[in-house]
Amino acid sequence: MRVSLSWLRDYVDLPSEKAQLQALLGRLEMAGLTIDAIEQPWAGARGISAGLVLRVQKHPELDKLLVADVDLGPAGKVTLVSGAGNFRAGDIVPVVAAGGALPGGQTIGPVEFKGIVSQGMMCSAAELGLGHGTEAEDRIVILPAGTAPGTDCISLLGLDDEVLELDLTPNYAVFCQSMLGVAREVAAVSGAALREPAPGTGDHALTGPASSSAARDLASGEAGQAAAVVIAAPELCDRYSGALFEDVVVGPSPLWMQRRLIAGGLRPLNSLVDVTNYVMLELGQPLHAFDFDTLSGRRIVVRRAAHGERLVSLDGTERELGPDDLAIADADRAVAIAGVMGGANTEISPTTRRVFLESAHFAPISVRRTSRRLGLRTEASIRFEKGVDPSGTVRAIERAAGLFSEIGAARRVSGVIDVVAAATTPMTVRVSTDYVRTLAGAPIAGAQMVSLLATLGLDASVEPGPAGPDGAGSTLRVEVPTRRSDIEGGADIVEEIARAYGYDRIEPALPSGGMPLTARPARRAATMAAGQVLRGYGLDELVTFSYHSAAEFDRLMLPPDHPWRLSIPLANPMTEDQARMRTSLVPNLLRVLGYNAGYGVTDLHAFEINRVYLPQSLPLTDLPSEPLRVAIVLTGTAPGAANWRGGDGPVDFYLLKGVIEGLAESMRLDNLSFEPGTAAFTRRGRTATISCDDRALGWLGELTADAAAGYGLRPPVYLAELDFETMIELSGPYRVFRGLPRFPAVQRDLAFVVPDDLPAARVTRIIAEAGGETLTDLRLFDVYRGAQVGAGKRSLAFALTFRSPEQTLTDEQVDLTCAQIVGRMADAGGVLRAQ
Amino acid sequence: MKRLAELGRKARSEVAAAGDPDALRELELRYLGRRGELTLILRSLGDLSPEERPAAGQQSNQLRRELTELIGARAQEMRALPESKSEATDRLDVTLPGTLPSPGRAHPLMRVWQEVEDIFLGMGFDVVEGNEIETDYFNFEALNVPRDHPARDMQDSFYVSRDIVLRTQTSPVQIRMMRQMAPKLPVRLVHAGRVFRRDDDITHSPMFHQVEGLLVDRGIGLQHLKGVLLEFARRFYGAETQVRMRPSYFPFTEPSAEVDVTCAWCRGKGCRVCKGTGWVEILGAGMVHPNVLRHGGYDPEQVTGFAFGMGLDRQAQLRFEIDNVRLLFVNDWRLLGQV
Ligand SMILES: [Zn+2]
Repeated sequence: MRVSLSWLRDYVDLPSEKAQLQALLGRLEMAGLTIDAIEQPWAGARGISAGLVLRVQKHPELDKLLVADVDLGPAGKVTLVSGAGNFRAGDIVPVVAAGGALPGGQTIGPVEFKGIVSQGMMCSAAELGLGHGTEAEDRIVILPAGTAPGTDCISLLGLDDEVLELDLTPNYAVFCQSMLGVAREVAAVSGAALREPAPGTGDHALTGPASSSAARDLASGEAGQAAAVVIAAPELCDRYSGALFEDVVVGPSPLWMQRRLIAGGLRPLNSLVDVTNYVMLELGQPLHAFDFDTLSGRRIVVRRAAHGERLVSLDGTERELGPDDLAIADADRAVAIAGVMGGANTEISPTTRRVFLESAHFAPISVRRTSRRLGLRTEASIRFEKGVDPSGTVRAIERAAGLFSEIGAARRVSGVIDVVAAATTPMTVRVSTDYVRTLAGAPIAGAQMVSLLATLGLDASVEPGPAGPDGAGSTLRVEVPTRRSDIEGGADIVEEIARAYGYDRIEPALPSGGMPLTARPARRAATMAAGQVLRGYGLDELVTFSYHSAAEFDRLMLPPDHPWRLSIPLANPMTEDQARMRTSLVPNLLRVLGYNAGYGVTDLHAFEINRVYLPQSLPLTDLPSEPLRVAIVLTGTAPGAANWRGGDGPVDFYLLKGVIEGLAESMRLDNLSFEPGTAAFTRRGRTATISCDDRALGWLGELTADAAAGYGLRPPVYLAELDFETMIELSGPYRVFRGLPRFPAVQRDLAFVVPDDLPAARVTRIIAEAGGETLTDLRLFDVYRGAQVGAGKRSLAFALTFRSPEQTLTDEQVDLTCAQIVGRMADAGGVLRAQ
Repeated sequence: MKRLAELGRKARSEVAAAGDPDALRELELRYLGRRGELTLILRSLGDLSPEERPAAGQQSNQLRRELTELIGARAQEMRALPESKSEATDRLDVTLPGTLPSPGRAHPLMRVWQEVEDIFLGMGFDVVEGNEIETDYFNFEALNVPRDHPARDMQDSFYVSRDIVLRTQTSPVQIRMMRQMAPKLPVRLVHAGRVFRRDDDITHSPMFHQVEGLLVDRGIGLQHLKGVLLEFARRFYGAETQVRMRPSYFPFTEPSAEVDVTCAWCRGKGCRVCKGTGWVEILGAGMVHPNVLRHGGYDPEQVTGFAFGMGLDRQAQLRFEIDNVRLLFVNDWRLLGQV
């Protein structure tokens, strides 16, 4: 909503002092009216004053130009050249003297026209930014006779006006989409009196109940004789009022009206349309003018559109309507889309002689649906959607009639048509004064509630309870006018009282009362703890989008039946990148690596712990599960390795495995196991599946060169993804202390030469089993492959720690255990390596 | 006694002649150590006559003190001398960087998320979880936003199907938690998480994060909302922070408020962050709408409550001065490495 301050002053006094005005606007904002911006639409204008045309002559050489001597009062006389032909001696016109500037800041200098120097220019409305159309472009503005030469035109023409750009919340939009509505709020905040606009020229035959509180079917006077209105869809249109105008003159509207429409963000068109728009901006009631003689049957039928009914709207587009859309029709066809836009078939034209003016109230939901479906939002549809006062239709007609008459655009015939198909009765809200005080959090007495509501134009009274007006059981009774359809119940009344009282006067207080046992949910706590562990390993935390393109599956070369492809599609993504809800964190992480590699950042070690979205079935019928995953990516140089010691080796499988083991250890997951595995996008022989207590946890591996290339990455790229939910589930809360060892330990190192295909985990298990209870620690400290052990073999060297809880072990006892180990290893093909 | 005087002379000259800290350490051990010469003399005092003993004891203690001081002073002198050969060999370039990997960085958003949660935990609010994919009912209808409600324009949603949406706000958690808890009081919780709206520009990311707060109990009013948010703001932005509330509109609260805090960047003087106003809008809030309480299983005649929702991404942006919200999810190392 755009609010011209000079226009607003018609209805309410505003401080002239800049600082005071600023303070008032600040208070308006604190009352809930957000001011997005304060614009000066005509900023830049300077040096424009009124000039009296003394003499007009033809240019001696350029026959399309006129040369005028113009008196600028104290500034003296000037010679001006103009191409417009509408002025003559004795006219007063706005003049930018050389050195002055037009709105927008374009400076005007002296210009020579074949020997005659124009010392400035006479201005058209278009040049002053005050009008649109050929009239406004071709004609010099003629100022009112009697304007003294030299008078400053910047304030005279309102070029110093300021316009508030209001950002209306949906509740304010109900009653503040009009100059009058905003003025009422200003008056409430400033305490100034509200001046309602004059209803227009009095046609006494038209007075009568203006409200919509009772159904009626009024068709009075000549208008009632000439035209008829039928509401065939009362559920979508509860009131339709109309009036008839004759002696129509379609021309430009006066400058002041055009200026106000421009300030309000509308484009002036012609006197008839401009008046309907002016009244809409002023009162909030959209109006529509039909060329009455084009209405077939001289009747208006408000009905649902037929299936596939077509109408060319005023913007020249053919629209297809349906039974969900409300049409305004004449006897034969649709002539307007109700509340949205008129039809071209009944449009005002230069030949229009009679006008039927519509002032109606349509169901917000219907207008909203139609407007959205057609992608057609108009000033009218915006207002109907948010809420228009159903009691205001006749008043708007009267106001328009007054303006038509004032500017000589049309003459109203007697009578009015007013069909109220469904009555809107003003609501009475009752709310306990205790409830108001509780919710508002302020000690407001009942009488004060009444006076606060009065500032907002709401009538209220207190019905005292048994303990007096401010005791328990007292009720506040509020009469809600029909223009306030946003007020539905007691809580809305509390908001009105609280904002009139001032939110800033509410004293902050901490709630007393019970407190819950507070804690982070286990998943959240585990996520934070795991993040800390992974960051400790030098991995950065990433946060990526919940969705990705369907093409990611192909980029990873996943087979058609790969479970990741069972992903939830979005019905209305904005881009292809929002096509699927992710089933794995991996694709988006790889994209992050690719993005950074594009900027030359290639040493990347990162993780994300976040949700994936797994449907039970597709299309989705139930909500999907949203389990947490932890994904880790490593590429480039190992964390911390790129240092002066020169150990800048690349990341590798065992580094990533170490991170996973460390994370598992931090969660007290025992029995972690890694088995050779495969994945569509990782290298064969360099991929492992991870499980714990026979529950699958996930996988790790090296990205294939092809897949890496698909993301713009240089190998090696190692990645892993784990089911964090299962990890949390298996994670023990803590381990218990088992006492300090009472007897010393014995250390032995054993190295075995084993076949290459005997996995280290298997060897470890054999040694652990053979070592029995006294083998308390077993650490692999060397893996050797080479000539000394022979082809197809490798040597695994272990440090073993033996300790008994009952006695100091003797060398003989340990030797015996070692012999058992060697024996069991021999069975498995492992040979004790010669020392 | 003579032995004592002689020992003193010898020790003094040797300490004066000691060439390096090692030699000095050796002298200290030789004379003053547990088996040092002076210690041995002290032990032999028992052989003296009772008359001689006190004077000899006093003398030897005096000598011990003197030698201790001498050795200390000589050590001080040595530190001022040029380093010895052995020290030169062992010398490290202490300016070489350390060789352990630097810890990884927490994402700016996650840091703010955790901090906000910590503050509310400390104020007696429980932390709860919620779905990111929600039914239309929980995301809209139960929150007093029926189909065709104009407020749906404020939040253009991503749909999965007619009845399932990517939640546009964290508020569905209000309904789910109230239903879980009703009729128990108080309901006192916060929830942070992802939300989605079809908006994409320099100030909007289609995916972003909110933290939701809810307190339902008997006698809760706007003053409590203001009190709790003031307390939060003082802990999050600094002790001198102030809050103000402006009337606003949300379908699920009535009365509703926008909440501003005094700008922590200019301390209210006016700057780029606060666009010269001295105030920064941080969240929307209000008293839980009676219809929402009813949907949650509470009687609005009996209990009232407040709720608030704050954008976490914006808080991360403000804290780390990241001017484009989309940068938060690009994960550009050149950004992550700076904050
Ligand atoms: Zn600031």
